[in-house]
Amino acid sequence: MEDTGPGLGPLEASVLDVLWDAGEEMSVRRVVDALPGRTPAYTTISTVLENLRRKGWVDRRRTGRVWFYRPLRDRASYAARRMHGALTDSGDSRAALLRFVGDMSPEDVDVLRTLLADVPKEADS
Amino acid sequence: MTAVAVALAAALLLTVAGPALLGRAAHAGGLRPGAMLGLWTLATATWLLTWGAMLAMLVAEVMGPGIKGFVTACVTLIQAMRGNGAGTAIAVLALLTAAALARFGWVVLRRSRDTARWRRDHHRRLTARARRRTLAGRPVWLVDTDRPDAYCVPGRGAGVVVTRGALDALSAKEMRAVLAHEQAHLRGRHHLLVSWARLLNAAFPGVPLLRAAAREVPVLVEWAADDHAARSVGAASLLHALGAMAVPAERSPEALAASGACTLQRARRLLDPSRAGGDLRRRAVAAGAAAVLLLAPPALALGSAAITVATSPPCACTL
Repeated sequence: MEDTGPGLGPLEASVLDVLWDAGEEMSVRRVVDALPGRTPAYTTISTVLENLRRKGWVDRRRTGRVWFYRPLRDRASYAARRMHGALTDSGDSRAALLRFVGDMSPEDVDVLRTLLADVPKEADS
Repeated sequence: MTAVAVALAAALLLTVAGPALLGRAAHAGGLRPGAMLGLWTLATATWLLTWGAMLAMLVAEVMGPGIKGFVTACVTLIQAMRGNGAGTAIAVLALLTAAALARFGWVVLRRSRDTARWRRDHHRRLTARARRRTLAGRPVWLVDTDRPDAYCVPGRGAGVVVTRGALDALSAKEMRAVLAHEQAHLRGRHHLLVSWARLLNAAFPGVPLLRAAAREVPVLVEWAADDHAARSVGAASLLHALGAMAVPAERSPEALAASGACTLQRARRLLDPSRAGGDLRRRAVAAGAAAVLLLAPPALALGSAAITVATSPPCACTL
């Protein structure tokens, strides 16, 4: 399985936020300037962006001598992955969590739908 | 010595035949999931109490009633090991039970730390990414995700979490059934029952009773919550909610086996009209009989431990 989070650090998440807010390709310098609060070093953000690229979150394109980065997935899919990651965390933490429907194989989903075909729908009251 | 032998036999019987006893009680009495949850939790608690009493007896056997702390115990154990053959056997057994106790403590610590951390992280994610909404008069966390999902997180500041996908897929009444199911989990403190069963199984792997409890309790809490939702909203709405929320998993099949109760099994059970169980009198008799049988081993173990402690000579060792 490729490493696509939810294991994103806080700085990685804020860098992604900046890219989503901008809605266009950004150079490392512009990301650094756009980050709220304390300003991290240029090299730090450059490394973070490279890590995000390695994890499949952003892509980059070279124009002249400058790399421009753009997000590969949107904010909603990030939220989805984060929450889904919470559900698929390893063993022990699952004890804290009771899901309405656990994961099912495609065959089981088909069998369930067949079972339900004869059950009348109850009207909302 | 006879009392010890009887107590040991009862403890072993509970360990090995406990699951069969509970299965029989459930079948014969038509017991509901709530009663079965109580019996399984009682069984695991009495198991721990029984073997705890046996451990106390061994310690008393080796050291006498004057317990002067762990160092004294270790010294006495070494002395006992140097002694005759019977002393060695008891010392080895006492060491084994001490190791089991240490392991139990370690697993408890590690798991409660992991769970607390997970809850903290999860709550942070919720406050960052989810919105508070009111559905059917109750506050829920709404997560903006296509995938239909609903679950509850116990503890402070948590509650029921639903995704936008679930909101889109369910009718108002089906959503009420889902929320009733999750509320039943929270109100019944189901996470504690599941955690307890899994904790014991993790601490003492390979014990038949504990393995069965860790398998059965997660299924029973789903059944109990299903029954509550079916009573308060209607079985048909709950069934259609199950169907609407069932999405083929993205993950590998071996990861699937680990997650709680099988949804198909739940649907078949909700469709089965005999789910309501036997009449009240029969249920009460079956549950009562099972509870008495489950309480016998710890009573015997505690009794023989008390006899052993009362009759053993005072501690002979000096530091």
